[in-house]
Amino acid sequence: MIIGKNISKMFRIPSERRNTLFEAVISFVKGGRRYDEFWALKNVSFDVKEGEIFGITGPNGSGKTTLLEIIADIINPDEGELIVNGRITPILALGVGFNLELTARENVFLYGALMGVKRVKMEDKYEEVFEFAELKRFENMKLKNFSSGMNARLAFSTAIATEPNILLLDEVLAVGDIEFQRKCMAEINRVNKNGTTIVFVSHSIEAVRDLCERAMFLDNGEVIAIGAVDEVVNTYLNSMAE
Amino acid sequence: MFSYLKQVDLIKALTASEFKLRYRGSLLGVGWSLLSPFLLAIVLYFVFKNVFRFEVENFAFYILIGIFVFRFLSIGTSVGMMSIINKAHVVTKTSIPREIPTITTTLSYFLSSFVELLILIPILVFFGVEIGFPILLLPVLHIVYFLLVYGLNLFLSAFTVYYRDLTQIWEVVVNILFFASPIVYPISIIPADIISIYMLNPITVLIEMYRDIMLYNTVPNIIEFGYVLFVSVLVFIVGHLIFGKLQSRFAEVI
Repeated sequence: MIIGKNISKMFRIPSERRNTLFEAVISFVKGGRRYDEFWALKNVSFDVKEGEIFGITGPNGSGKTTLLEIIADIINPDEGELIVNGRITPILALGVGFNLELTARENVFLYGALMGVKRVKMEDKYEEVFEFAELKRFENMKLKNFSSGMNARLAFSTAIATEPNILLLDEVLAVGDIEFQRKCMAEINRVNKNGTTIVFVSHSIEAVRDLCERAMFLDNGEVIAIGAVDEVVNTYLNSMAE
Repeated sequence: MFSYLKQVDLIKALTASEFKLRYRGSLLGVGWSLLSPFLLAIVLYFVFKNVFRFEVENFAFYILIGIFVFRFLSIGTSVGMMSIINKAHVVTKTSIPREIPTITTTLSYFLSSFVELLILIPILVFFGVEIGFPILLLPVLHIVYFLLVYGLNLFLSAFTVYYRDLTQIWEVVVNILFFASPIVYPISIIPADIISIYMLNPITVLIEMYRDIMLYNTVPNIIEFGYVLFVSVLVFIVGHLIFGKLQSRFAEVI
């Protein structure tokens, strides 16, 4: 269960680059720091109920990923508060933590460790991961020789096999062919039935409509609509039509 | 502050993969990391033996141990300070504690350095150096040394996220430290009026203690050990405090 209350997040966009100690000294001498304020999220409130698939949608730059980063405790909100009940997957983007120089096999265990899963449990899941990803033949191949599709399949299979309490998925269906996308959808539904709460972020309105019961539509960092997925989708489509 | 240390499985898995990757695909493995300090030691030996004419017993091994010990600090920090910015994706896309990349990098160099010192022991014995039970203190010394290097790395890696040119500044500091520590010369050349300041450098005391157990077959002075332990624990704690202050905006700044 996740509850967000009046969450706002401001980013400072420096009007001058200041990446070195030298530049910091210079700009300190010249006086003041100059930056523009950019509010990526404004007063966002929402709740994700236990055991549901909650969608977050909106056009590019609407604040979807920023919100997900706040939920995942990667960045802190400037205002508002977030209450999380349960263990959230620590990994936001699939395949982060994969090391290209290691083999697929080694990477699955490394990823499992990053997800906080014991090695013994990962060994149980091992066959399942490769079967689902359809990559059994390539288990001893280094990841740098994988195609991006293979990489995404392996990442998705590993992430889903760890069966966390709360799973955050950011644009996961963007890669992979239709066949695999369908499989992913089915798998998301299956782990959801097993009790995993899922927050699904996508700008693909179809994917959100197919998967989620409830959803939220963000635009320019503000909540335009939140509630049952059909209403949200209608609002979204209407606003796009304008 | 230290709760990330509970994630033993994760730290172990990441350290192991980092350690393995460093030597994968190289024919000599650890051999390579021994070659360069050996060559450096040989060059420095001839320069300081023949030009400066220092008379130190076992001068070649004196230098060799100094260089091997100093390497953990110089390489460990120069790589360790990059540990956060080199793993930007871990910071921006995961909520894994930010200390994890720094501790795993430091640990993997700690292991390398320990293996290097272990390899040095049979070489010393072969050339007639007497090694006895004080050598059993090697792991203890190295763990204390680890606390120092890790504390520095926490501070350096956090600051490097904000100020990238710290790497160049630190390079200079390490070079100064190399000559401010008794690696290529005996402590006896230090003038008496600055020796008390000179001995405040924990690296100096550390190197002398490694020589005690590896070259002189004696147990290090307990007061000196206490001093190094105190400084190392202090750096370790201050490193955590500074890292904790700086880490909240890592994901935005990096």
